[in-house]
Amino acid sequence: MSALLKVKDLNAGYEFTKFKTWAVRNVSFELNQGEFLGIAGESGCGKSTLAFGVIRLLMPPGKIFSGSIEFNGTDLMKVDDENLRKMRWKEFSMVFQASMNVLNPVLKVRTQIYNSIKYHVNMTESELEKRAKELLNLVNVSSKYLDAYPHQLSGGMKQRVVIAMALALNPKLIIMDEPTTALDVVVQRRILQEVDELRKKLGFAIIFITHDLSLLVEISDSLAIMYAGQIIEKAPSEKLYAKQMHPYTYGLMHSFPPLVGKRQKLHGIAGRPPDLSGEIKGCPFYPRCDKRISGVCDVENPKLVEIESDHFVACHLYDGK
Amino acid sequence: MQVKKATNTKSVIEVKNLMKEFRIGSLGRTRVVHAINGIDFEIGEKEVLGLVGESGSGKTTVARVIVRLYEPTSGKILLNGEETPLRMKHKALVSYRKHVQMIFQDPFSSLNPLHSVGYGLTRPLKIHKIVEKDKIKSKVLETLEEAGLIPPQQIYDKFPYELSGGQRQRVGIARAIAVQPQLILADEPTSMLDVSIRLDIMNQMLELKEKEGVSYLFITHDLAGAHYMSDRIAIMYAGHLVEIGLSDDVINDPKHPYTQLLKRAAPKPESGLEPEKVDVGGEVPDLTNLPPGCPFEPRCPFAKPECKERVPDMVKIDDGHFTRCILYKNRTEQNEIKKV
Repeated sequence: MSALLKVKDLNAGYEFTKFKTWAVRNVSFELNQGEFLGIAGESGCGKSTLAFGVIRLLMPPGKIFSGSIEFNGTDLMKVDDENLRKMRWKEFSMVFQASMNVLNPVLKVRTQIYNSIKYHVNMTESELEKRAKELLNLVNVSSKYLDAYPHQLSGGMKQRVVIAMALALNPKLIIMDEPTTALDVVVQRRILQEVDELRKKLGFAIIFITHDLSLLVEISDSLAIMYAGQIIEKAPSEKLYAKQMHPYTYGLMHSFPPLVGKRQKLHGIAGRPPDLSGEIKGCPFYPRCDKRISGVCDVENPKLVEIESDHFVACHLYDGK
Repeated sequence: MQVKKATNTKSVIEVKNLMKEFRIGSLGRTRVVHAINGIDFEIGEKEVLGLVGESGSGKTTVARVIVRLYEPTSGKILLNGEETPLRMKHKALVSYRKHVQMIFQDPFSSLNPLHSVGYGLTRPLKIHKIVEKDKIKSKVLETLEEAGLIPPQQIYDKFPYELSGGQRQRVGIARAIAVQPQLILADEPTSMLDVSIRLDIMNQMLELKEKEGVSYLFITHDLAGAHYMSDRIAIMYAGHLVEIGLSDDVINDPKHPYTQLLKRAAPKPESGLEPEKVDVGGEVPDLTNLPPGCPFEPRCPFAKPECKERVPDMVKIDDGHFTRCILYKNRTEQNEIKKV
């Protein structure tokens, strides 16, 4: 499979007059066509900044400091704003966290779907209507809601409409930034199921961002765990679920109780993530890590290396292997 | 049917046929939101009852009615077996809240940003006259330490903005236990916190339960979290309790179709990586316009015509395990016949 998206040494963050925050630090990864990549991490670990950065949506004070992003053979860092706008929706689209606030409250669903299509392709009114109905059918919303205003839809339906809009021009990549956190568990599960079926049918790739690791393990092909702006572990989901190599991943995976089975006492991870506005010396997880090696981990930041096939880890514990 | 818990411990709080309605809309166009529609449960000493439901199911309203932030519309609330009046004057409220405290969902808005942690914890001690004046500060420090805020001397002078989310929620817990209540109503205490610290907060609460002998009503939408925390679990849907029973019974052998749906929808990577299919559509009904029958009937895969007629009664499945579903009606009759 060829890589759809190649990100190399991406550094991004927020630049203020007095200080800079490095929210994404030296992140590199590749995404294949049709792949479902999950990115998990705690709040403030830079996962949303990464998602915005990858499709160059970061607005000031947000900024990409350095690195390269290659999408389908095009160097995204060199594309100007006008061409970027043309690529968005058509080549890649995004579903945001609070999609209830993404829809314009004074425009009908119909108008909003039409607008996103009309900018990119020429279609007659009847073609537009046909496509809009098709899209709503895809996401299981009755086409009678074309003439509804956003406030007349429930949270789940609004989220579905936004997903339909993201699908409108058959993009190759959809980035979903915690699209279901504001929804109920049952609705969340339904929507994820539908998105995954659509992906298999239409063949787009997904980058799915959430803090809910248990959810990601079930739905994504591969998983990247972020901590303090870096990817600290990346592997196919089954591998990562069976064996967590980085102590942080281990802690994260063991900090949600299992639903079925015997109840036993579990522990979270003590401490809190480091401040991202400064330089971090050594491994960012060092102060919270229970397997730290002093003299090694607090001096040098480990690099993300392939320890087993397809299993990348950034941790000094595996230096000798 | 009387919903009883399986064990015969003394109950701290007992709720009978509790209802809460809200009137919304402007004059002449008022509508009634039926937030709680007659629920019954009791919580024993040192017991944790998990209350699970989707957003809009009325679970937060239950906590707010019990702590009397809202006045109940009708029903009975019994504290230590004694009935409490539905409407309370200030003095009665203060003495009631000496026994019943609450932990709020959002630790970022439940603490006054202008007051230091120390001040926030001194107030309940003064109002409820827990200790003598000269011992207040040492008691505050002790409570902070109990809630896992170490070192307490440093935390005492801090303001909420200087604390992390987890620390703030610990201040919320410290504030609730400061008056040594019998019951703490915890309204989704971990949902605003990061996953890596949720468990520590839950463990802290369990530890305090053992140490202080306090009971909890633990409200959550996370079935797995409820299973971890609670002795018993109650499932709420559209203002009704649809199932209640021992945690293991409800999780391992859910009876009500809604509980079964919740279980299927919850992430559970431990039981194989292939997720179960959820084929039930629809959403929670509009609480201003509830159907006359079972509230889950429109979404229920087992719905029968009679489900539309009236809300089914609670049916006993096992000791302490009840569900509000007609699917099990005949079963209990058979059971009772056998017993006779």
